[in-house]
Amino acid sequence: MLAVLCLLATGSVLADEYVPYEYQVEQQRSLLERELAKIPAEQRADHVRRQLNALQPPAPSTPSADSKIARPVQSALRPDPRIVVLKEWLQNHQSPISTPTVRPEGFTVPPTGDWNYPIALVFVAAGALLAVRRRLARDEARPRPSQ
Amino acid sequence: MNALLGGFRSLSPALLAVLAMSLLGMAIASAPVLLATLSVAFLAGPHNLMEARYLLSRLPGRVGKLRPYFLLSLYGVLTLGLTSVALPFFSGSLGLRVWNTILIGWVTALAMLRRRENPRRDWPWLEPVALALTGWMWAYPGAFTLLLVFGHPILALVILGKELHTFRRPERHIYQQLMAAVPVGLVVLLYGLHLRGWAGPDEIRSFLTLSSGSPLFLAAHTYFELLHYAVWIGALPLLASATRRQKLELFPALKKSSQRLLAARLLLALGLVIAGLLWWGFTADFETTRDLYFRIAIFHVLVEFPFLVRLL
Repeated sequence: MLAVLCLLATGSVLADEYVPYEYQVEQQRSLLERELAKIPAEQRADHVRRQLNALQPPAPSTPSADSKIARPVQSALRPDPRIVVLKEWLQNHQSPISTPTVRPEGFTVPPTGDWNYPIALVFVAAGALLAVRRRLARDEARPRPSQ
Repeated sequence: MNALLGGFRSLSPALLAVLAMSLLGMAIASAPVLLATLSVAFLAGPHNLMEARYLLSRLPGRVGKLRPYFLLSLYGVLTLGLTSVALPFFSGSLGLRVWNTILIGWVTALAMLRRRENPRRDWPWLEPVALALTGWMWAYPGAFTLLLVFGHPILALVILGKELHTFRRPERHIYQQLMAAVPVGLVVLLYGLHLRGWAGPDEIRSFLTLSSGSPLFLAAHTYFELLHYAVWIGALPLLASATRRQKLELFPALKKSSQRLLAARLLLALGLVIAGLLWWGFTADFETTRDLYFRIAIFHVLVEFPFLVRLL
């Protein structure tokens, strides 16, 4: 019991390390979708650009000594999930298509071939026929009350 | 007064269960990602180990007439497990539909073999239900996957109920109350998510499509997974201890063969090493370890089916 408590305590301390990156991205994506739903469609791109500019400091024109030191550290880290999501949104909305019902990432509907429903129907029909046949056979086998 | 105390005593397991499940629901609603991550990182390995122990305890001493049943179980686990690892390499949903059809067919064949063992098990509905389920799956493969994802954790609760009844334990009377508390915790969880704005139409849509980024899906799955882990790591080992079946030497399949006993010990030691490796892997590279774990975890899901059918 003590070992389990120690493990849970260690886990709680290191919890931030364990939170997977893709969940953070997904959470940010969900937050952005909710945020944009409150903004008129024509202002969304500007809003996203403004947010992105605020998060991304402009690159210095002449590399300083500090930036040279910081570069390897930054390359070892993953980009801010919020930046990734904002960039992704802009990329997806660069095209003139502006359908209001954009499906969120991860919403993948497997293409349903025309033959899937007939196959499904065959199985269901076979099951129903078998059930009826069994029921009739049972009724036949049941001893009839004598007249 | 005595009547009141008596009434409280009879209610207390249900109240405790409702309280515990509600607290669990509240905790998950407040930090779904954290709890999902911690539960997989710390409990996945030990639960597999305890499950392997339980399954060893349920193996018969002599296979005898059950040989076809166990051979079919083994072939099914191997075939379905290995093909499921290869499934992501096939594009489209045909592969998934065919795999699911084989899974339903395999479980049905196991149930048919089980039916033959005793005339008391008539089960005339077995094949019609299996065919109807296959038809439904061909039409809605995503819904069937959702059923599997949430059905697997619930399977542990069913196994617990069957075990309590098999050993005629007095706790079997509390079991119904515990089960009744499960939806209460789920409602608390959903309410918590609703308060955080995570139970809207978008979230429900993401939930239905099993999106790993959906807080609703993640939270609901974590809730059932934690119950599943509680059964495998807590309840079933406690039951084994109460019925004096926890020692490997007493397992029917192992008590007459020292070689099998040694093999089982080695297997469990390997399981312990794997559990340790999983803990290390989750600390070193969570995402890769998690993907690897879930890719391989299908084997333990499949192994549960033959043992569940044997409990029927």
